[in-house]
Amino acid sequence: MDFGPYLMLAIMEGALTAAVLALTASGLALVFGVMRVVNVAHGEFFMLGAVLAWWVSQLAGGSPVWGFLLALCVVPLLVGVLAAAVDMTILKRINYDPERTIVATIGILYILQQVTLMTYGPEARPVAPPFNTRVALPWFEMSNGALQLYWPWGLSITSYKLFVIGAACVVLLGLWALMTQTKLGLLMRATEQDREMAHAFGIPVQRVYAIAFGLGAGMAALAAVLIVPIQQAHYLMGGDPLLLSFIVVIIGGLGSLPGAILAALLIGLSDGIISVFFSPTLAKIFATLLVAFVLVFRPNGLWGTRNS
Amino acid sequence: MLKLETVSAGYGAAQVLRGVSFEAHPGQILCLVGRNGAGKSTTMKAIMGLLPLMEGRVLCDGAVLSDLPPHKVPALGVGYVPQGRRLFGALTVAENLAVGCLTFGKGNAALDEVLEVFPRLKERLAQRANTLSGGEQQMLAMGRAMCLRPKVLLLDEPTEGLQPSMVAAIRSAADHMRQQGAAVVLVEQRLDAITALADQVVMLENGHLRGTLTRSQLMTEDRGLLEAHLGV
Ligand SMILES: Nc1ncnc2c1ncn2[C@@H]1O[C@H](COP(=O)(O)OP(=O)(O)OP(=O)(O)O)[C@@H](O)[C@H]1O
Ligand SMILES: [Mg+2]
Repeated sequence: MDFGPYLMLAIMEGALTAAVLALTASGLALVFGVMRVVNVAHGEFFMLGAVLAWWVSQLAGGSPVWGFLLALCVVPLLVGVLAAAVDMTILKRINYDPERTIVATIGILYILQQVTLMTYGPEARPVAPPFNTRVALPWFEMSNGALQLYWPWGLSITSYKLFVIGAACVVLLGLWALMTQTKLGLLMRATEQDREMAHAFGIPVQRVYAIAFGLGAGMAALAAVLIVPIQQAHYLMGGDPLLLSFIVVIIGGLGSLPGAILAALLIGLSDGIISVFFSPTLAKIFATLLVAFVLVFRPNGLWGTRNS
Repeated sequence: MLKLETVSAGYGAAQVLRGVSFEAHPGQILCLVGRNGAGKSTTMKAIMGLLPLMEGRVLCDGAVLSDLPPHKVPALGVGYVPQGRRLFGALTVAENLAVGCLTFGKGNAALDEVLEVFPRLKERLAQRANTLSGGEQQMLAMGRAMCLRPKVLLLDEPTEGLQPSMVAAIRSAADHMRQQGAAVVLVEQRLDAITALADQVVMLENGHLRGTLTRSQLMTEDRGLLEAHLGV
C-alpha cells in the first residue's frame, strides 16, 4: 500500500480509539470538574458497562442487533444509577474530602472488580457486533493532471467502527448541549464554580453531585458498550481506560470538558498513527512523555487557562 | 421579619459568634458593624445556613430557617450578596442571573427589574462574570440576589473597594430594595453610609453583641459608641 492510504488507515484506527477515549475521559473530567473528586473507580464503571452489555445481549438472545440496542439503552442507565447510589452512600458520607475520596474510590474499584470476578468469572467474552460489513475507503491519485478517486486494496474499515465514531460524536454533542443549554447543565456548572454559593441560591448540591457522578460513570459505561463488540468483556479491562482517561484529563486541563475531548483526539490519533507506523509500545511512550511534559511545563493543561 | 435568637456559630471547633440576637424589620436597613474579625460575615453565613449553629435559632417570617438544609433557605426569600462577591466566574452575566432566578421559576419580571436598576448589566449579558470590572461584578452580585425578589437581603460590604459612582449605584439599589419592603441587613464600615442609610445599627465585637442603636439614637448621643465599633 502507498503511504497515503496507509496513513488514512492509521487515522481511522486512531479515530476509533479517540472516540471511545473521549467518551470515557469526558466522564472522568465531568466528575472532577463538578465535584473535585478524583474517581479512581472510573475504569471499573467502564468494565461494568462491558460486562453488563455481554449479559444483556445474552439475555436478549436472538439477533445481535436487538441485544446490542437494548444494551446501549439500558446499561449506561444501570451503571449510572449504581454510581449515583455509591455517591449517596459513600462519597457523601466522607463529605467529598479529596484524600478520603481517593482511598474510597480505590476501595470501590476492588469491590467492583472482585464482585465481577466472582459472578462473571475470569473469561474474556465477546459480544457480537450488530453489523459488521467491510466498507472500502477511497483514496485519490493524480493522473494526467486530474484528481481521481480509486479504492486501494486493503484500505477499508468495518461499518461497525464507523458507527462507533459517529455515535461518539453524537453523544459528545449531546453532552455539550446538556451542559450549556439546559437547566441541569447550569446547575452543574454553577456548583462547579462555587459549592457554597450554589447552596445559597437554592441549588440542591447533593442531588447535583449524585447526578454528575452517575452521568460520569454512565459515559464510561456507554463507551464500553460501544467498544465491547471489538474488544471483549473481561473483569480486568478497566485499567487501561482509567490510565488513558487520567492522561487525557491532565493534558486537557483538569476538569475541562472541551480540553478532555481535544486531548482524547490528540492521544487517540497519535496512538493510531504511531501504532500503525511504528509500534503500540512507542505510542504509549509518547502519551506518557506528553503527560510528563504537560505536568512540568503546562500544569493547567495544553489548552488550559483555568485559574482556580 | 428576620430574627436571630442567641445564635452561636463558628468554624469546626472554633467558636466565633457568641449568643447574637437581633431582629431586622421589613422596609428597613439594619447596619451590622464591627471591627475586622468581629464576626459580621460569619453572622451572614450563619443566617444562610452555611455554618451549623452551635446554639440558638434563626427565624424568618415565623419559619425556623436554621432547621432547613442550606439550599432551602433562599426559597423563604433570603437573598445573599457575600463579601468578595463570589460570582460564578466562568458563567456569563445572564447565567449568573439565571441562577438567581432558579428559586422562583422563570422570574422574568424580577429579572427585568434588575436590568432596569443596573442597565450596565444589560449590555453585558453574554460576557463572562470574571471578565467584568469590579464595580460591574458587584452589580451582578447584587442583581443575582435581587432576582430572588428577596424579603430579606443580606449585603456583606457591597461597596468595598469601589469608586464613588459605583458606591452610589449600589447604595441606591439597597435603598430601592428597602422601598420594595425588604428587610435589608447591610455590613458597612463607613460612617457616612451608616448615617445616611441605617434605620437600625447592630454592633458586634469579638462575636458578642455590643448593643443596638435606633435611627434617632444614631443621630444624637451614641455617635461615639458607634465610631468605636467601626473598623477604622
Ligand atoms: N473559614 C473560616 N475558618 C476558620 N475561621 C474563620 C473562617 N472564616 C472566618 N474565620 C474567623 O472568624 C472570625 C470572624 O470572621 P468574619 O469573617 O466573620 O469577620 P468580619 O467581621 O466579617 O471581618 P471583616 O470586616 O474583615 O470582613 C475571624 O477571627 C476569622 O479568623
Ligand atoms: Mg467580613
